[in-house]
Amino acid sequence: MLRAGPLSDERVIGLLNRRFVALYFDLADRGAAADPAARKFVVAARPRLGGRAVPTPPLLIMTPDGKVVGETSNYSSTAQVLSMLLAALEDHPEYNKPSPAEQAAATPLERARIQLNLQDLEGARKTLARDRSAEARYLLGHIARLQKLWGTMGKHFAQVKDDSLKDDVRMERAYELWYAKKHKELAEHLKDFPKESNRYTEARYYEGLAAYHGGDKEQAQKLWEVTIKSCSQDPWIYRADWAYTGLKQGRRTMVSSAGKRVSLLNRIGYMGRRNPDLQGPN
Amino acid sequence: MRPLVALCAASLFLIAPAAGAPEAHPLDKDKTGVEWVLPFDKALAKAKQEKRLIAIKPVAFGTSPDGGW
Repeated sequence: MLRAGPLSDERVIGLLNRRFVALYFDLADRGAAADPAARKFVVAARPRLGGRAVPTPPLLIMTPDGKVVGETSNYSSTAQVLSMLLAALEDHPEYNKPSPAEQAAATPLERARIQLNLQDLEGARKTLARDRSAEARYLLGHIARLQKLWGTMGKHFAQVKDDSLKDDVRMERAYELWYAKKHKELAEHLKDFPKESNRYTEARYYEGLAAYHGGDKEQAQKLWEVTIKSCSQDPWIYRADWAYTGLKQGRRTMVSSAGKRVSLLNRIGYMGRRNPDLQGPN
Repeated sequence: MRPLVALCAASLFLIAPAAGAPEAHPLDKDKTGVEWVLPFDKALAKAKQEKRLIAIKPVAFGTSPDGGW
């Protein structure tokens, strides 16, 4: 669930890749991702994870010498994960220094992308203020979208004249409709999104949400199913699978690693929090 | 021996591999975009060298070679 949620969110991914070394492993020594050395390291700090039956393991932030400096539940929201990661960095500036590659960033675009990864949206906005390129205007629109400043977003996107960014702008504009709960308009806006676009799976995911919140649950399931089965996996496919599975499972929370899996991606479990997008925008 | 089955309704997991889990590592099946560094020894060495914190997700419900967890 964490992987289909926060760990598939561009903000979390950007921050993790920029400032952390990320590792996952199976606590069972016979699991496909078993890693006894990782287990020993974690259990030394969190003995409760060393038993034969354990509570749902959290996401842990640890120093290389084994001290836990951040922790959040497996069922955390994206905002909670981001907040925990940023707090860990703020509390430990010795692990929050720019890499040589970051120090070498020369252009405003390069610097702004780093700031965006570090969740310094205002810093990125200021860095791009004088850059008139289409890419910079697009990034400014994207930042405004993350801040839900729809008027500002629209002004920036109106200045993007580069056709190669057309699909990106279209997808970004869809978020305004999503947050305004204009489901019919959202479905229309995303209809026939070009399959060759890098935003295709994202568009289909939101088209499914538009159907679902518009009252057509079957259409939503069908749309997600076709997309999951016909596209390569990516974060949006993960999120669609989480939504699809949530609808299929209904209120049932019992899941088994040995039983028939509902997930089209053969995921083992989506216990806990349902995909929050099924509740609507937040 | 038949592998244990992880069955869970609340918050306590029996530590068990996914049914029929073979040896292949599922790392290359992950398409989140997170740049996972595995195994642990490699992650630890990288964290020490680059002076970074380690973000660790232990998985208790089983990992399968098709990338499931």
